[in-house]
Amino acid sequence: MREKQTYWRGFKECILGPGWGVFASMIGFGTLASEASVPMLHALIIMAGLWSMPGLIAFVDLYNSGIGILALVIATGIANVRVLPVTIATIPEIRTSQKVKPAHFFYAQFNSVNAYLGLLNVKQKIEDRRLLTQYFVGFCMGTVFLGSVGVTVGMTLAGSVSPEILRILIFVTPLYILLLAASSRRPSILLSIAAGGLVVPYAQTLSADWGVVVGGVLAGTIAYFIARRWRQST
Amino acid sequence: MTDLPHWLILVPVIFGTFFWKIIGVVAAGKIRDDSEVLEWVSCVAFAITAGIMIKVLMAPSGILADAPLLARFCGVAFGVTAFFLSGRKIIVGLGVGLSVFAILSYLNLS
Repeated sequence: MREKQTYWRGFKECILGPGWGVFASMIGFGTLASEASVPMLHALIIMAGLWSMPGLIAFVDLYNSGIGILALVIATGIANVRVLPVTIATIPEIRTSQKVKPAHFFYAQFNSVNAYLGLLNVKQKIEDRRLLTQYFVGFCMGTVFLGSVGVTVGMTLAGSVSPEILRILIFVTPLYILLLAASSRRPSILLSIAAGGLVVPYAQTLSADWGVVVGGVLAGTIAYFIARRWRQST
Repeated sequence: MTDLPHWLILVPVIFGTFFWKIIGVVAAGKIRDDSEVLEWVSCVAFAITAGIMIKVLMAPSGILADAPLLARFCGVAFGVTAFFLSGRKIIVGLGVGLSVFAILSYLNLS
């Protein structure tokens, strides 16, 4: 009984708080997906399957540009690599044993920065690990619910609003992601954003298929070494 | 590739992201989330993400391409500037960027 209550508490706290950011950005993804002629069911599947906004935008844009499937898989996968550190940080907080269990992959699939922060907020208040896990799952399901509604609203709006409004809706999400990335205070990340913003679009004009991957690895590596050198010298 | 049906493309694309989650679950508690390898991986991820977002905003396909380049450029430039001037408040950067983009798009300046 308490587990059920804690699950719904997580769901409710997500819906009354940070879930709205997910809802708004998924409206933008929905309009972009509609523009790229992705059917609604497929847009919802890819939303739940990738469950990370940079990869979703990358998928729609690269799919629309007609690049090869291997390059699409690699570029989308790398754009979503930020799920790795979030997973590494989250799983030890909610698992009840050191052994890897199938449920852990489910938690990882629907985890997000929002859910991780939601978990940290209540960690001190919910000491029972089983209840904490229920809260986390409820919170994650809240984000998935609002995300699904956002995609549906975005795709519906795309077919019914004027092109002027539609352009603004499409403009929101990439600008939001860019600003969200730039909110990091780590010099290596800020350098990577600047280098990627310059190198990747240019590299894509040289190779439509591999420009994103090669340009991104090059820009990120250069930024990493510059930041590391700067870190060692100070 | 575009000849392939959407659903056939979804499976490998989803696995491309799920792969990181598998590594994350297995490696949780074994590698530190502030290790040098993860630092480099994050750098590459942010470079790709920023590159794609800049490409979507500055050289888009579809209906966004109909908006004047000046509107798109000023929307991004004013948005990013307002974001940093406001002490990195996303809502301020987003509000300024969208307003500038909407006004210049409406005026259709090119």
